[in-house]
Amino acid sequence: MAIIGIVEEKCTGCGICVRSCPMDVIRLDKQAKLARIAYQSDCMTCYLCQKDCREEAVIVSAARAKHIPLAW
Amino acid sequence: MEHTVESDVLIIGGGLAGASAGVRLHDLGVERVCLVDKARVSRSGCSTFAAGVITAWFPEDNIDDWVRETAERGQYMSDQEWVETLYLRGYEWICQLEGWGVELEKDAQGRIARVCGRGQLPHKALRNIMFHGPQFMEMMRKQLIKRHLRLVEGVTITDLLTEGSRVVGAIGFNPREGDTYTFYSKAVIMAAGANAYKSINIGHKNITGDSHGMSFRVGAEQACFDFCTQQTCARNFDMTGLNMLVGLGGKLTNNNGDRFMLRYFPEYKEQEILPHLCGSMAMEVHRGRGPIFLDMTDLSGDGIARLRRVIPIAMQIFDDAGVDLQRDRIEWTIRPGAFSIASGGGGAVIDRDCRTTVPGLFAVGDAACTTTYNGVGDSGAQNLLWCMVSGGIAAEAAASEAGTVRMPAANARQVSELREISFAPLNRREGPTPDDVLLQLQMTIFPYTVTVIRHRDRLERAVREVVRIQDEEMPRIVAADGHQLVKANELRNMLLCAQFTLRSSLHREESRGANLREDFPETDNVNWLRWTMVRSKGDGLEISSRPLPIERFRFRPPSERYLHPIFARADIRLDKATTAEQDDRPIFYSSDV
Ligand SMILES: Cc1cc2nc3c(=O)[nH]c(=O)nc-3n(C[C@H](O)[C@H](O)[C@H](O)COP(=O)(O)OP(=O)(O)OC[C@H]3O[C@@H](n4cnc5c(N)ncnc54)[C@H](O)[C@@H]3O)c2cc1C
Ligand code: SF4
Ligand code: SF4
Repeated sequence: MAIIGIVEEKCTGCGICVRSCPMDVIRLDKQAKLARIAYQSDCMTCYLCQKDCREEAVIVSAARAKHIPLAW
Repeated sequence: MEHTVESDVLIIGGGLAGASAGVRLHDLGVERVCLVDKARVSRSGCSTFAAGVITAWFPEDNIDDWVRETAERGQYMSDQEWVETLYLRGYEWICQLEGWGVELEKDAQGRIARVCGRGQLPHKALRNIMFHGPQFMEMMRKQLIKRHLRLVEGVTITDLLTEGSRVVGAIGFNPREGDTYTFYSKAVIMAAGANAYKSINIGHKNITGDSHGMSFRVGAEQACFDFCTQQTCARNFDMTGLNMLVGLGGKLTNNNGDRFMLRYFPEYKEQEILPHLCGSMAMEVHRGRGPIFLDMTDLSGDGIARLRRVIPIAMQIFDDAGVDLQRDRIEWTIRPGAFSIASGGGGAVIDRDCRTTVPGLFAVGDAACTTTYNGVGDSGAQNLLWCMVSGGIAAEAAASEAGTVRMPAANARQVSELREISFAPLNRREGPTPDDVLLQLQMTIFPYTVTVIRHRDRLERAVREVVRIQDEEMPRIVAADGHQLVKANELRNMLLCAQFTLRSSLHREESRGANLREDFPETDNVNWLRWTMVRSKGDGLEISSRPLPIERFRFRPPSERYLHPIFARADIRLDKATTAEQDDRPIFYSSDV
């Protein structure tokens, strides 16, 4: 489902993915110095966080984050 | 923490339109320019996700042919004087792009490649140029930083500030830090994009009609929301690019295996303009011939290899979704309620300087009425060009205005009144969440029988439901934190846009573009060469229509009424020979880039 994980062992807490996410899905846990997924259901699967993370710590999957009504 | 920011010109939204305005303002010598964005410039907005196609006129092209074809394809609803300005001034911007580092596709001779795409044919005039990926907006960000523009990012603007009848600033907040912001300026450029009701697909889910809602609330007239157009998408995963896929061999078929676009629009087929393409798909479903498939099963191994080279990301998504293109047909649908993204669509009414009807407020890019240059649909991809051109023109007018107007006085009372409204959901304990309310709105307007194949009864029912959501659900909506508060404020604007579209559609008693009315199935060039206008009136809104200044335009349609092709051709049968002949005629798309 959309963004599915941030690999803790790889994450340096640099905050780049937090700033890149247009949907405010990711927040920085300042104490733990880790990025965490805060609002997963708002992810629009745009892959920007994954593209921008230099540590390859972000995992995004192609599936939609939540059900959205269709036209038919 | 409360921040107050003063500037000569405030730009709201840093997509291509806002960024272009920022660059131009700096180059005109305006020193205090502030650009505020709810996310990060180059990582938000449709501009970041655009497919990379720009319909661009070059001096060797005949401008009359370009204006004529654009007007015709847009069903004569564009403002032809703006279309000419778009192409002529657009060329100035195109010339700058390569110098700034945007990599445009080249032909074998090393010149900028000029190719056909949606809505275009080889024997006609319009041509596109192409770039790939988010590099364009990354380059625009660099240009802004190089010019030391003040960027305030991660701040959602909720309302505009006024002094008398003039717009003098805006208020907003940062959902992460909880800080509040007040902006005062001599002129405001609205560039916060369009609206797609957070429907399927990527790129637009935080673009929520904030431009239209905020400018409407201070009295700016809006137009042409009846033409807000849908896009297409795979049904089960987020994937656009139909233009490219059909150009490389894909066909749209109905459940009987018929390539129905041969019947509706034999000349352009799957590359017909979006309102017609989406309308044809919906009509097939309406006639019981759905679902709709993208069929690429005829593709050879070489064809697949070529797709992997040309559209690697799209192919990766097919792989992730377990689709084997040579075996599976892909269920395809419309992106419902992309009521105002790209193509034809509504927005603020502007004059030749991109001034809205409210002093001090300019509108550019998707914030301005896109029908102005596209008519009912895009004959190619004029949107990005429009962002640069309108951004530049607004900057020129705002710069001269900033030189003559005094700095507004602070107005703490207005700020606190507006903040009370926008922050109210934070103070409530019980009630629907923003997601609950959004789902109600989507379920009301997304069915194709409302959004595509329209009828008075269904439109009226939808209006009643949208008004109910606004009057009964919104006063109770609860936001648990800043993140939810952004979503609650986005809903204020989406609900307004839904009413603009539904009520404008009701007003237009003909079928044209996205406004396919079962109860008025004719296109009526005798009575309806008119734009539909939306104005605020008391607590509500007033719809009217205004004749196009057609006597000023060079190209006019015959004064006639005719059955819209989607109604006229839904049930005709083509003989085998015609079908085979049309089936064989290729579709053109950037064949070798
Ligand atoms: C997937 C996709 C592909 C497309 N492909 C093409 C193409 O190939 N060619 C083409 O010409 N057109 C294309 N379009 C259309 C084109 O991208 C848009 O018309 C154009 O980018 C609009 O630019 P804009 O600057 O007006 O708005 P946007 O680029 O949408 O930018 C709006 C900005 O405003 C900010 N914002 C929004 N609300 C607020 C608020 N309340 N407060 C502060 N900031 C706010 C957003 O964060 C965003 O940065 C495509 C559109 C999509 C969705
Ligand atoms: S960009 Fe990567 S390393 Fe940096 S905070 Fe995000 S996940 Fe961690
Ligand atoms: S995929 Fe896009 S929307 Fe989802 S978390 Fe990453 S940047 Fe945010």
